[in-house]
Amino acid sequence: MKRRGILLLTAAVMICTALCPARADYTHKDQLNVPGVRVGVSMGSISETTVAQELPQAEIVRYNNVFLGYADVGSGRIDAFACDHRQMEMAIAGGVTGVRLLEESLDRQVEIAVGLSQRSAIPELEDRVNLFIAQVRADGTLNDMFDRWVLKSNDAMPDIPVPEDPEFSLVVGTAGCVPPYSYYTGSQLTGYDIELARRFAAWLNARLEFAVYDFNAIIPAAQAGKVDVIMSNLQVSGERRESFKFSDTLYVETQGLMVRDTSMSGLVYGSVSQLDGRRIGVQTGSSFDSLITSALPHSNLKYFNNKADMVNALISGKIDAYAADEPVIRNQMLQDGRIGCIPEYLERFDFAYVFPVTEEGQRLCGQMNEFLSSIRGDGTLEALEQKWVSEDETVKTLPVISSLPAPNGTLRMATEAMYEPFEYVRDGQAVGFDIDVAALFCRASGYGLEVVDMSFDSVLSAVQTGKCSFAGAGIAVTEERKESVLFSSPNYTGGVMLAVLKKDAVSDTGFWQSILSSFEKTFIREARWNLFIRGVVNTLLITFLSMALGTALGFGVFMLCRKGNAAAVGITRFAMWLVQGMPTVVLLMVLYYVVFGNTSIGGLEVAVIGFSLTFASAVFALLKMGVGAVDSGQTAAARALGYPDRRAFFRIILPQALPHILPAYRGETVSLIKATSVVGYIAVQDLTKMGDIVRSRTYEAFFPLIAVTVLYFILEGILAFLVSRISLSFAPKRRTRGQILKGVKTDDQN
Amino acid sequence: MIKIEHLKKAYPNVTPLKDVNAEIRDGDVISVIGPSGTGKSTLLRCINLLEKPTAGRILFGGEDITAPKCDINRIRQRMGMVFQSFNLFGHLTVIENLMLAPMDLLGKSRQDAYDKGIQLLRTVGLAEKALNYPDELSGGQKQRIAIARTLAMDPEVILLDEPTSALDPTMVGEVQSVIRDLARTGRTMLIVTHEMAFARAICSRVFYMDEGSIYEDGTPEEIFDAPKKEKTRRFVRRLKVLELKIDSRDFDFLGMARDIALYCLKNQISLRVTNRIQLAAEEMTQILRQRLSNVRINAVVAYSESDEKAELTLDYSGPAMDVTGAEENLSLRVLSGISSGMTYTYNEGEELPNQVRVDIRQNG
Repeated sequence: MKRRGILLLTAAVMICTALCPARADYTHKDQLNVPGVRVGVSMGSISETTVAQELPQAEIVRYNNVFLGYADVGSGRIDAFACDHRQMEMAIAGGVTGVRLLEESLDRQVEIAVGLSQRSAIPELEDRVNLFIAQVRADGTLNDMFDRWVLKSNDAMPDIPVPEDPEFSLVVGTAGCVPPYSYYTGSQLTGYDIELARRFAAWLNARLEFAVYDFNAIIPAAQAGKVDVIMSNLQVSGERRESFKFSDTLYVETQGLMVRDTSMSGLVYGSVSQLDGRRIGVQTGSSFDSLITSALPHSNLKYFNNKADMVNALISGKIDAYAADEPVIRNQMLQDGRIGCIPEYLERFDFAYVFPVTEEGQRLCGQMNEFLSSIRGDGTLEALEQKWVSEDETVKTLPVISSLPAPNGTLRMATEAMYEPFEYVRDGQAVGFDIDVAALFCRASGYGLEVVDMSFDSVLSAVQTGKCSFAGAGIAVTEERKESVLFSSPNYTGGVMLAVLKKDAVSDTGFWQSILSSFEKTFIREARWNLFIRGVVNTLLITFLSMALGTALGFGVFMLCRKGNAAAVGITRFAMWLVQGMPTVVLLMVLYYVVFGNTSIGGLEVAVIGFSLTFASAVFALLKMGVGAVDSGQTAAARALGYPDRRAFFRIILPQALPHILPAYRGETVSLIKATSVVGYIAVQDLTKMGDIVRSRTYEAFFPLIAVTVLYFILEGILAFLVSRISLSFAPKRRTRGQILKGVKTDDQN
Repeated sequence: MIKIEHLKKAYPNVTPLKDVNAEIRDGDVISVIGPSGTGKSTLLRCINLLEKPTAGRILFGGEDITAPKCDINRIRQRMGMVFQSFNLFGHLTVIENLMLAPMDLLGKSRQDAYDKGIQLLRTVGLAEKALNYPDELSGGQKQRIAIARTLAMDPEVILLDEPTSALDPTMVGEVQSVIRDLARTGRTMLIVTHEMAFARAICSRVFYMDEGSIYEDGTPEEIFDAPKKEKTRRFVRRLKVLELKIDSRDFDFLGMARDIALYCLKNQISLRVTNRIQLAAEEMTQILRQRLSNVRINAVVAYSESDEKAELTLDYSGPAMDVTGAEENLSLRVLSGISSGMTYTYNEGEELPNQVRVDIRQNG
């Protein structure tokens, strides 16, 4: 019975593992096209349809914000994220950790174009835009712009003349949080699309104005005529084409796939492709430079004489990566925890021993091959390899070379003992993997061994000229070399990899240091605190104006409805049903696009109107509740004394209603501040929007969010404090005797 | 000073005031009494127009205050009202309660209002509470201050709507003495009250309200000692009445006993008295059954809560026949044992002309 149970359990576990896709490292796109795999996309982007088409079995998860998507890939909540390849590269380079990009991207390429509003006041807008695009493409400007902004990450905005006597007004809609196309440097909007807009305005002779919207609100804004064109890395899709017009294509993007990087704990660069355009170190005399130039054509090669210099250069940030053989890098990683390795081979190769192209050489080569195949077969070769790449120096022993019995003579092995762990000097003796295998070969074949240390350049010629019998120096088998020497079968198979710094290396600095550096990036750099101040001002402006207008409106409506006037009550009830029935965002958008659609009333004014309406309905309800809580006998007493209705209300009823109302009123004002965070939808840059903009530059999700939250708390605290002060002044029981008896002389008996 | 002509107040479901007519002269202290729901408070609230009359006229100092053009706020300033639930302004101190209306409505200066207020507080004995808030005071104190508040406006007439009904018995006295003092100073007052003894002591006139109008109106002696109408009598004596109609010889006498038991239980009459009433009823009806050819009897058990006296009155048909007289009879003997008196009267012309009243003994 017990055995049955165990069998069943095992079967269940196996089934589960088979059904659940392994959340291990993905390397190929096809691995994602499996039921149960979750692929994230940006809501409303082309990637959504592309993923549905190319990875039909995967489950699509929609995100409002790409950074949340990246974070979820890193934490494993989703398996992959599909988005513009270049943007994701920039994100990873900018500091998003725990993720890397798949080599394969999605097949469908996305066209980027300028969005055109059908309701623009500029005549023949489409033709003009396309003509402009054709011109700047023909004269190479477009390419140059792309090269500068996108490929070289050069963020200098060239000087473009502003039209003196503009003929038109051009409003360009853009998102402001999509580097390098549309983003903020400090508090200045800049980027590829910004330069494009400026050039177009100059070409068109128009006065240029930018309107910054939340990404999802841009197209509706154009459709309503609030902006003339959209220049914001706008993707073209079939569905969008059905209701929206695009210009000719500006450029084409690849949609990449970001997956979790379970191997290394956060490398500064997660994949080889990210290093294109960066500084890569190579050792002189190695064959790696041509490898790198072919894999990363735009990279900057830096040459070093030895490996130690190269490692130092990486650590001090003078280079972004360096190329070396895999075991070398692994060794270096063991020695210095700051070094990491990108898990991709630039090239795979074999190391082998080199023999001269002579009869003797061929004979020796054959013997070596026999020996190698025997130790390969019984696993000795593998064990030796493990031994020499391990951390434990004590196990790295050689057979004593000097005491080898040499009935068949002594072989001289050329090498450069500076290639740990293959050959290096320890305690005055040359040791290493190549030497170990060679020594074992000699012992098995009855030779003695003499290791001759020289520079790498000389090793091959030493063999060719016969100075040495063979060479073992971590020599890679290449076609070129085969022309002049003979190679044994490989004693080692490995590859060339790129070493980079680990993310931790940078933040080896500790908790407080990282907080300080986040603070610096979020607030200080490029004077970003200006953005936050602007956001705070807008938030406060909307809040205070809405509070004032809303309170006045709510109070006024209450006074009208107080007597039970049927018309007033009916209209009020209907209006409140409308205003309170809609989510605030929907209300704002209805006001912005429908009610005030054709007017020039801007987002800020609409926000104030919208929030005044919602605040007024809250104040109305509060007044009803508070005044209703006052006993009807108070009204009777007041009227019986001879108070007219209005005066009775203000002198006697309202003061007794206020203590019921004010605590809830304070809560409403705090809610109001929080509610204003949605105004990004109607092109108002409030505090939340600024948080988004900064976040798109620093690539840090955490710090800007926390900063924005703290700022909201501060603002709410100030507001609550102000309202509390007002409540206190209305609290009758807190008055002193002097205040109560102001202006009155009492006699001494009191 | 106040003339009420054909006042009517109707609500959707009920019409408490059908046709009220009255004249209130200067210096009158009138108590308005009557069973619940007969419109006493409604009458008061119509006088100062807190309720709008459905029909009729009210003249105040010769002015028709029910006319649409009338400035009702001005009128109300000349009338004061004291409520059952006090209705002091909770957000103001006691002295401010007294100062507020004179300053706002009569234009008095702060100092004048304060002086008058303190003086009034002294007369009601609460000067030391000037700076307290109403929720710090007892019910009796609150009502005294409410009275002082109306006096601060120097009204021509004060309307008091059950001023002591919400007070527990220990506090009733302090409020009553304030009202008594006011009556002595010659203020015109209308007091709706259930305190009969108090009403009797201070009032010059009594309105008994019933059936939608002033049912009976007279001096306290007239109303309380010698009420003219039956309902008035029943009310002032706090009579609780049970009526039993007996139409045939074979009436259900056990049912009658049960009805009497229920009635006595409802009115918390002691068991001993209950038994006596039952016995009296039984014996009397026995006698009458024997003696009458045509049995038609109207029996009324009346219990007075005020003096706790029970009496059984039987009106019966037939020629004049005094059953209390002469012949020795077991029933009569029993009756004399449990009653403190029996009276026979003959009312010529009535349908049931013979009447016997048996006063049930209270003790012994």
